[in-house]
Amino acid sequence: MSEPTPLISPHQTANQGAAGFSPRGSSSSTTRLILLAGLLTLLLLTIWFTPRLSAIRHDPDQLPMIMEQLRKPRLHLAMIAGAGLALSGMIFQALFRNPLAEPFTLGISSGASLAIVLGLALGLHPAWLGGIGMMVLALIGALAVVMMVYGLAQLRRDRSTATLLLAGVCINFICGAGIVLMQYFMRQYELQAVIYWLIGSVDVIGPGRIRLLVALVVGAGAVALWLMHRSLDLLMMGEQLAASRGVNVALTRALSYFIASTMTAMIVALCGPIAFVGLLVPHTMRSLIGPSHRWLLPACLLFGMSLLPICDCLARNLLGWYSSSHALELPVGVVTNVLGGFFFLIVLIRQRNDRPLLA
Amino acid sequence: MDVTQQIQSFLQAENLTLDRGGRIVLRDISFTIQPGECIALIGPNGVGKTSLLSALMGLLPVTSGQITLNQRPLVLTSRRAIACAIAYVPQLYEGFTGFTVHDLVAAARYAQRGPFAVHSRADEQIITDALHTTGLTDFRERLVSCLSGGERQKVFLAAALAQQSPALFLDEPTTALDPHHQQQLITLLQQLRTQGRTILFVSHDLNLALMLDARVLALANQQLLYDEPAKIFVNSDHPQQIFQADFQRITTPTGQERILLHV
Repeated sequence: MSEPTPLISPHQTANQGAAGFSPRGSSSSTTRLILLAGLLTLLLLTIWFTPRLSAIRHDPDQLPMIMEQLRKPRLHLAMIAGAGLALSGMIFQALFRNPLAEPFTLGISSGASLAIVLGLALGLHPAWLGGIGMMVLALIGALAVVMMVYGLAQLRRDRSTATLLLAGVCINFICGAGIVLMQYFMRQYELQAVIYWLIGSVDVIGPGRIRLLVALVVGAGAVALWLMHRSLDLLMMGEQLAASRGVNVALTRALSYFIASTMTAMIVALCGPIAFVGLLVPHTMRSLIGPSHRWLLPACLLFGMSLLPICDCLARNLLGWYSSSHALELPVGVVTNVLGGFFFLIVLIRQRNDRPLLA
Repeated sequence: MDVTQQIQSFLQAENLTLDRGGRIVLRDISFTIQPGECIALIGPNGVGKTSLLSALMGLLPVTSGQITLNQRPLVLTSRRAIACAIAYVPQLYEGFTGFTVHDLVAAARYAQRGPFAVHSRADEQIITDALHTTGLTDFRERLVSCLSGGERQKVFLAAALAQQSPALFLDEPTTALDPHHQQQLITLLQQLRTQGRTILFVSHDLNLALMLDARVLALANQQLLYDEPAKIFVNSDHPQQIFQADFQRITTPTGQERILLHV
């Protein structure tokens, strides 16, 4: 079937406001590849540099031991957590079609945290079932919150920033109240561990096989999500439109929610609720490389793997640089909270009030 | 029903009943669409035109009755098979507006190529052709957020063309458009019609049905009241009955019939 002759209109270029507009999406495959190469370089630099950076002078004899047993496992955990949180944020933003959605703002991290604190308060050991028990608990909490937020968005037929963020705030309140209640009944030493864990940190290294497990899950999730990139793009264009183009919306949605929730839950179980990485990474990457998940996903993966180790490196050294007399470290959650809080504010200001989506 | 008609039919609706939120909007609707037909779903606001359109594409479950697409029950047809038969042009875009025109049109290749396909040179050619046909070549890398309503409508038409389905289903295609864009769209639809595409559109613009020489399916009071060619429809008192308004018929100097609201 031949296509009809083109409808070229003399008015088009004259009155459609083409002047002065530089399209953001014009990046060709080449520029996108260069961007990815840049992100890869950043990651390699991060891997080489962050474990070696230290505000404190160590005994040269001890340094190899510190590197192998402390810094490198910590770097690996930060990379895994950064990648997983960035991808989860990317997925939640695509599924809710809202750029402020991420595990923390939607309350999913809180749900996972509450489930874990509940488990601890009931006397479960953190290393229950080799550490996997806590992850399963966290997953149940995370999925419960995902269903609540999604149900609310469906019920109100509304995915606007206001509705989603308020839902997230409510869930954060409720889960926060639950966590405080549990803490009230805890013993002193348990309490201290829980408070530290709730800030979010990557220095709780734990056994290597748990890290490997989480790395495998995040890796498999990344591959699965990348294979779904066409469906994800279409879902971001609207569920009805996606269905009309041939996407099995229910299946794609369920799979993506499950993958993102699993990654979030496992990371929360290990590192605590580290906030805003899932907001900051996909958001900046989307403005650099465009919203198409074929490119966005690897970009988020690489940048997430770099950003969290960099934040952790800062957190580890900030106090040491300030005063070399003591070697106190901050948990990385402090840094991401400060960074992400300001970033969140900027996005919120830039987003027009009446718009459910960032234009 | 005649056996030969059944074999040839593109889409068939039998005793359809639709509800929205528990309220019955359409009751016991039956009709058959042949390949290459142009259908205008006409009716007053809120009568359930868009619901019927969505149901015909399987996007909305029916309360009772059956829809058959290419001799197969629609409920047993996969989403992709439906997409390969019918391309949808929505009235409004409710998705993320950070996509480019090219992204939006390229995504429509999903129907033919499936979820895991690699974007090929042939795909790119089809997209380029679709943009060319709709006069959007210069808009290729423009962001959707920077487009007017009329331009967005054209993007969705381009996407529907890139989907390469034999049928086009359009929801209120001209409602949001200025005369200039309306003219472009109607010309394009006329061309597609002469090429043998099946076109179904929802509208309350009777002149659009006249210009495309469509078969009118007129809905009112939960029922399919009339099923007749647009020319016969407008030359009867049926428009008055459907819309509860007074109309005036005129003939243009070039001999074309039009219908106007009489105030």
